[in-house]
Amino acid sequence: MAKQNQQGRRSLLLLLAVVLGLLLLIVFTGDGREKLTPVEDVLLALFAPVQTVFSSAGQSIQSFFEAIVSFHQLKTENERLQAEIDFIQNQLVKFLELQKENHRFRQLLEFKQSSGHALLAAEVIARDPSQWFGTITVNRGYLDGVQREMAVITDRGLVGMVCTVSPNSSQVILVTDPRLPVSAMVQRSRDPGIVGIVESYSKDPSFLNLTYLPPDTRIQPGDAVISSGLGGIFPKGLYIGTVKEVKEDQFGLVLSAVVEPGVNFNRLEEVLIVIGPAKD
Amino acid sequence: MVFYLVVGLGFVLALLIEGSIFSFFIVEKALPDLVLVMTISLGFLLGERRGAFLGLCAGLFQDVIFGSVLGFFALAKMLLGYGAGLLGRELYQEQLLAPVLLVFVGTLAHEFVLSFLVSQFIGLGVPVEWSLGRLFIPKAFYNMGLTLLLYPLLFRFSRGSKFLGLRFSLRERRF
Repeated sequence: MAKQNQQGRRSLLLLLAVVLGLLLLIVFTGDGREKLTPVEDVLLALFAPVQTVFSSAGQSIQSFFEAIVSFHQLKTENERLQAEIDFIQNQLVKFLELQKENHRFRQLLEFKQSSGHALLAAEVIARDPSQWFGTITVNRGYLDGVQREMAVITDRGLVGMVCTVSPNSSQVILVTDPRLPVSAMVQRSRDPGIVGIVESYSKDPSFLNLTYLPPDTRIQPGDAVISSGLGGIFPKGLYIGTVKEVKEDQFGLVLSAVVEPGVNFNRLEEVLIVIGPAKD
Repeated sequence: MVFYLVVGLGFVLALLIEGSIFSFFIVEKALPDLVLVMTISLGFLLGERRGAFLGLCAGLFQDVIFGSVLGFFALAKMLLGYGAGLLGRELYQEQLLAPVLLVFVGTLAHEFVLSFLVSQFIGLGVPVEWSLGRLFIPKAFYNMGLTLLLYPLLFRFSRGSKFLGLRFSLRERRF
């Protein structure tokens, strides 16, 4: 025990001596030295090349981590820019949409003012997917004054007829629907009594068929086909389409014509409902 | 002899890594001190005399390599090695918690000693409050992390291959 204490005391004394020595070393070397000791020279000379190797390894590691960091930054920036592009594209689509809508409304307005009918503008809100554009739904109903069998038109021509009416919407049967025959005549000749029936064209639903024309009807491709006003549903003189081709039946008893409708039924967005004669 | 040779090489390697690779892992201006972690861990395992000796040698080597003034690191690390050795007799060496906490406290002590020596002998001083938050504490945490990795290796190395596992629990002591 006494020996251990003695050893401990000796260790402590040795430690104090070394501490004192180191403090002196600090004092002597602290003011700046002109020259390093030979031992330091050798150690530094030996150490320098190894330090160079480790330093370049360190730089490689740094480059690696910097690459990761810059990749992350680029990714973040890319995501931000992509979001901006998406937003701007979205705005552009909205802008173009509004521009087109504005153009359509202008045309409708001009047509409404010059048509000679009391018209109610309506927006197409649905299409019947079960038929080939056979019916559409518009956002006007009997609360807006819409009634069954009212004609529906656009500035490009006849669209169809209101077939069912609810408070705030109506269904419109299109002239391309086989259920809706329209009494029509050729605008150029306007032969009295020469009236045909416009109905859907079974071979191509985007065209109409003008049938039951007498064989002496003066009709040729390019002629405009208009509503005759017979039947009391469609006012007389509504543009329907243009004759594309004239055909004779196999016995030569009647003529028929393929009519290209003025209205593009695939792109119907706004329509006008003829709610009565023009009010002065 | 082989043991001290390996330890010496370990210190040289630690200094090289500290001066190159670790300099790219700065946290709040603080760098980990691998040499200090080794000094405290080995002092804790080997006792105060060998701890002080290793601290003195490693510190002097660090003084030579990284500073023109000799004695700062040597003095600080020697004292830390000695202190760790004294505590190593009292605490459980086979549990990781004691050396980890010791390294945390030891790092703070080491930095305070260095700060004191630099301000007294060189006349340079950084406000302690600033240094504590920006340098000392981040460094202490950094060193704690290093201890978690390094101490088990040093423990096994100092004991040969007899003791393969370390326990984190304070309750159980296993020899």
